[in-house]
Amino acid sequence: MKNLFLALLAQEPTHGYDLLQKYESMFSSVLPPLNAGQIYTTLARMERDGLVQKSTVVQENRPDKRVYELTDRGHQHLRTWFDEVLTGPRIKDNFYLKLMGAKLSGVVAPSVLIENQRREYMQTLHDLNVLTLEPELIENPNKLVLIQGAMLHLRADLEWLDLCEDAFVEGA
Amino acid sequence: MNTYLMETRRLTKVYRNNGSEVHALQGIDLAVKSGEMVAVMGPSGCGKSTLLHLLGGLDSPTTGEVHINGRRIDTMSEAQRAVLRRKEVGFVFQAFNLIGNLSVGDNIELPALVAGTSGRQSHQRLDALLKDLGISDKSENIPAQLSGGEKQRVALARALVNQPAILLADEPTGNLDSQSAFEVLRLLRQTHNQGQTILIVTHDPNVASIAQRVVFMKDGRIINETVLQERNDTKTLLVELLDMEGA
Repeated sequence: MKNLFLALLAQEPTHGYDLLQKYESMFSSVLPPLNAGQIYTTLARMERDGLVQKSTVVQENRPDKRVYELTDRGHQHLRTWFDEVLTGPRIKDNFYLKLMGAKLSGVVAPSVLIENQRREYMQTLHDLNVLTLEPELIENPNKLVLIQGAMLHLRADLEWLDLCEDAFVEGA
Repeated sequence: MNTYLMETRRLTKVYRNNGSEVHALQGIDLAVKSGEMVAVMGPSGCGKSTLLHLLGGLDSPTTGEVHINGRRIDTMSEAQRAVLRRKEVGFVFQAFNLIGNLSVGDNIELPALVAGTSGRQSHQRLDALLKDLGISDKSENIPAQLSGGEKQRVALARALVNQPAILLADEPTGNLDSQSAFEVLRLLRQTHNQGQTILIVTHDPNVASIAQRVVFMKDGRIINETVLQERNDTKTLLVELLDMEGA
């Protein structure tokens, strides 16, 4: 959550409640919901680490507002996050281990594992396809692209299951 | 028999070529209910396109039966089958198969006029389809002026113009880039949601996954089948599926 908050604060200094609203309007359908408590805990931790600083804005007839602003260190932290590329392929090693386990133990046929996994992936692809019909997603290409990415990964997973079948199932 | 819109019984197809035999279909039993969307999925050469051709009356089986809308079609004459194809079946192919020197509107309207629909009715139907498929502004264009995705939308509109009992689609996104493929799949689902019975054959799991039921084929046989569930809470599902850590 921290890096997203830093990115939102890099846009402009803001107070906790505004931050929550921005988060909800941008990520409500793709990230878990947050409560105000989580926001303030995260902000307090970031302040402790010197990534943000708090200033109090006095308001007439209303309680004072606490506005959070990114420090130089916070900017640097954000920069480092952007500079790191994500490494390594996404390998479904858990499934591979199961498959090896099935072959070694003889408790269950690898073909059964592959079949069940294929059904599950097809179901998930179906779910994602249904989601793409949601008006909210049709109107928001930057949310839609996330689902399209997940769908492409699932297609790769399904193709990989075909290869597993060739390698593990005799007479396939 | 009446509970299914389309049904095959022990369907086989053997191609004979220079004394050698290819057993393309080896006993297919497949039944599709009215309003259902079914995908037949398998690698190239598994017989799925042959199956689609037999279902649509484009070819006849070696043995076995094909029933559409309560009528047995494998014993019909070619002329009877031609009438059936016009009225009961809509086709969408990978290669679009549009007529190059006719406008988009005329391409779509032609099957309706051939089937004897009045000009006024077919015009209304054309307008509704153009609107549904988001190509109202392309009606006067010729196919060469369209993108691949637009061509397939026109092909889809043409397939639907006679309100067929069943829509048959053979690799409908095979020639499309991923964005256009995505749009066409969305429209197929939308068409299904309006009540259209659809059967798709494909090698692509993403295409197959839009269906309610996926039938897996290999070497001319059905080897497996899976029913896909509709989940209701899409918002929670999205969060769950993507499992984002939030950085």
